[in-house]
Amino acid sequence: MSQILVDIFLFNPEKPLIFTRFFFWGFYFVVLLIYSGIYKQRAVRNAFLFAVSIFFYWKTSGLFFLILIFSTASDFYLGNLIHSSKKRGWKKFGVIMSIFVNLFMLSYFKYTYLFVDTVNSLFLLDIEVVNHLALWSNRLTGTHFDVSMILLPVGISFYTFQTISYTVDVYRGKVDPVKHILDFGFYVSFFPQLVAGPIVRASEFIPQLYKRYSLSYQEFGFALFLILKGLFKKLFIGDYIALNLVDRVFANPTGYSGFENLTALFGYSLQVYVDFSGYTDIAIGVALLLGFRLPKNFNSPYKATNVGNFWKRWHISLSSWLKDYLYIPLGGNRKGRIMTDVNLMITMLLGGLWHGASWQFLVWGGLNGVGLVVYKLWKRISPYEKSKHWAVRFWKIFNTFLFITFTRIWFRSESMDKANQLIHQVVHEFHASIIPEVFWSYRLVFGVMALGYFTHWVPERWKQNLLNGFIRSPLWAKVIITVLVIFTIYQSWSSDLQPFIYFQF
Amino acid sequence: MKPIRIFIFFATVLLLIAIIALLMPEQGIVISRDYRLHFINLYEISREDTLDKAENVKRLLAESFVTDDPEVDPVVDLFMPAEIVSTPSEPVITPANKDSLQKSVYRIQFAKGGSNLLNPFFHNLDDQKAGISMRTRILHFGDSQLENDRMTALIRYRLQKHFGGTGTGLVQAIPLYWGSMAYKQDQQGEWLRYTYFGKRDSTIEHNSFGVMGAFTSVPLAMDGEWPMLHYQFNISRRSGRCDRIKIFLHSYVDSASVVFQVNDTIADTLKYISDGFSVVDYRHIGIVKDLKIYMDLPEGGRIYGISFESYAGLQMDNIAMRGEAGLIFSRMNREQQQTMFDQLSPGLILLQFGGNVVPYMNPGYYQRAFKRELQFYKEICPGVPIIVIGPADMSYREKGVFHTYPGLESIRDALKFATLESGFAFWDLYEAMGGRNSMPSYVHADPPLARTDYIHFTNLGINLMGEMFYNSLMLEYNNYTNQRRSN
Repeated sequence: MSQILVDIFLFNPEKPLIFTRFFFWGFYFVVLLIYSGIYKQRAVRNAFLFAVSIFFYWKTSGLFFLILIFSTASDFYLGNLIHSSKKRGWKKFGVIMSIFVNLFMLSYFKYTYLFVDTVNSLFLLDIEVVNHLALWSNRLTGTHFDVSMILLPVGISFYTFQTISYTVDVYRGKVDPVKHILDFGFYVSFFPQLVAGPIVRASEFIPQLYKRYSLSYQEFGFALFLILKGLFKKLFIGDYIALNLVDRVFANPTGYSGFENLTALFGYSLQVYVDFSGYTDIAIGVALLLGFRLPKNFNSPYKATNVGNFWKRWHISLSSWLKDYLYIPLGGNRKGRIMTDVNLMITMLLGGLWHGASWQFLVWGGLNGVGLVVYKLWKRISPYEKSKHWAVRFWKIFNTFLFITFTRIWFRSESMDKANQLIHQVVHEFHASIIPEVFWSYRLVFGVMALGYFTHWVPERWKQNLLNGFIRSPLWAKVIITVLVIFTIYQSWSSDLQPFIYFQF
Repeated sequence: MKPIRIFIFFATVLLLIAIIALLMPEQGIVISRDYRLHFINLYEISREDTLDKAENVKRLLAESFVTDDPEVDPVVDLFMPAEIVSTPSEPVITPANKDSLQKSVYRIQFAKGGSNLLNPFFHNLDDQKAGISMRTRILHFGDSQLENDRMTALIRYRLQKHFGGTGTGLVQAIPLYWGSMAYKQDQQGEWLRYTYFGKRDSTIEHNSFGVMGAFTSVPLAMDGEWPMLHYQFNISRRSGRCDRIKIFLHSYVDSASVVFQVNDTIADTLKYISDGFSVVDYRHIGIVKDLKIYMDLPEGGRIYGISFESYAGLQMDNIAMRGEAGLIFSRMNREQQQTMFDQLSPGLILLQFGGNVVPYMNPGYYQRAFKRELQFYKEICPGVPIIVIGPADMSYREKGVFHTYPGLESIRDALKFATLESGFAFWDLYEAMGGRNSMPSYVHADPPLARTDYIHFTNLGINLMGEMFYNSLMLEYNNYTNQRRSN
């Protein structure tokens, strides 16, 4: 019994509370039960959801929940300071402090290693990373944190951007400050979107804190559809191709022919989409069942006709955040063509770094920036830019998809060496002769990949019809469909591992 | 829709899932020969992601000094204190020296009465260190676990640090696996590589593939341009430094020529190389940074391997044979192998196989077949000790849970018995890494020590295994040294 309580309440880094674990759904089940009793009392509801969100973060990140609470408190009071100050100087001070504190935390936890490694290699030094926060805590309170490493708190990239958007919006007068710190804490930490977004703007979410719970039958159907779709995408497609093809090839590109490397790259292009969009689908569905609306984060990104269009469909909450809080403040397109391009490049490079602290992400961001700049030039001279012909549209989608997939080499590779190895294998060790053998041996993996791409590229109205059909279906049918989807996902999860195959090349 | 209705909805779904889980037969429902429908049970939920051996793996990693890069000096090296003694007994993970060292040593197992097996090799090492002999060589054969110099690189580096020697040893003229840390390579001309292991090219009718089980065919000169192999060495690495290059060559006719261009200067031109097998041996005064080897073989020929080595010191060759189980040596041309072995003159042979016959081969058959291969080595390299390194743990997945392949321990035993019965030594990698069901803990370790195929190690993982083997070998060396002192 005591072991069960320990498992439930104590932090175990091996078992984080994420959507793809049974434990999360047990947690959600209990939350729903209690929520059923309190949802009508707005203040209690918000306080309860704040408490369970902090518990969720504790189960996911352990003591890092203190960082989340610190971030919440500092931005809550800075927001109030910005709003209540009569003098512009104080308002400015408040917003600068908020940006500084948030970016300092993000940089400290996320970019220290990149910074130290770069300094070491540039100046041939041997500086070691010391976790000064842990050192300070150990000295002050007698804790025993490891000072030799800095771990990255889960979701810090998301909630720091979220709190920055709050103070900036208060400064810009777009939103009034939240009156109660528990309400603000709930906004910052709301568990469905805490770990992997979408990044929710204060102006979109805070008004919902003061509204009564409402959920129509249609919305329930929509939320359930999103949850099932997300689980199917993440577990049935994403995890299967990651485990059986993508991860093993990217771990050792030179052990595989160029053709296998290429298939792994296309596999990854699908996997990263189904993983991330699947996760946010679940987040949106889970939040909606509690009566909260989160913004759409993906819109069939591989149907994009150019790189600019891709970024309007991919991780929409981040790209619009970068546009509003970085690109436009930099000057956007208001200072001439060259400065527009420079601003685009800066935005994409920093956007790349946001995704991960390594040179690969910088390259990835840079390539996307170049893609945007080149497309801006191209559309001025292309005779087909305004063409509605299906072949032109197909060609544009095809090229955009190829380009985005190409940039994924750096997004996925663990190091620049691994990225170079993958390119080398594709260019010099392609071995077209083994293609039929590879196809046959990996037929299940390719089948799942084909299913993933097919469901992505089918016409929007097909998807809409499916969604509408599900929403309209009676409750008993929804129960059966839910069980069937879970049963199907389990088959993929429990399937045999794709055996390692030796293709002599 | 009120939250309580949503709760009831989920409760109904849970109830249905529970009913299906109860009704589902334990072995699932057969759909086809290869596929069954399964469903969850409560036991699986409670044991989700349980990694029994995780603590053991964490401890091994914490006690180790290895990194992704095999050429990183250990903070403490087992070789240093000669006092490290551990009673030879049944193999157990024994702390080598709990005061100064934190490492674990998994002992090499010897045949009954054969504990002195490695003494000639250790004697060679001592002689070499004392300047009495010039060089010692270790041939490290294995399957895909060794690809791209993995495991060998760490053992080689540590041994060369103590006993001298540089260079990466034998490589294929056209590498099977790109990405050597010792050098970069490109070539001019249509060089083709053939292997005896894996898929064989039916156009090759002979079975002379050299000791590496592979050769590269030398193309003919085209328009007066000789085919060329170009190497740029990474001389900041010990494995990238060489002052001696040996080419194990077979020319179809007389009058072959080889030109060595070192650091952009023609360094040597060898003419009139006779037909048949020969070793082109070039020694350079100074460090070779950039090497071009031009070849004019009038009717073409074969390269069985090129060795980048130092004039004196220890050499260790990485010979990885993808998909192989160590059963091909006696089937290849014996005379040709004998000639090449004579040239290489190894002091120790490591054979690391077994994983590729799990779960397909009968252990009894494998034991007999492997014994035949060991007998082959006994005959062509008499007196050379052999250490057989067994397979690592490998997992398959059943209902989402990873298990050790059922036949793996039998195959390990087959290898062990064949080895000990032949009078050689055995190092049990499977037990050393933690035994049954240890592989998932390696895959899930942070940083990962094995890849998600649940078969192959990551660079860090294979370096850890290399270090463990090195420690075992050095423990035997220390015992040998102690013994000599006490005599």
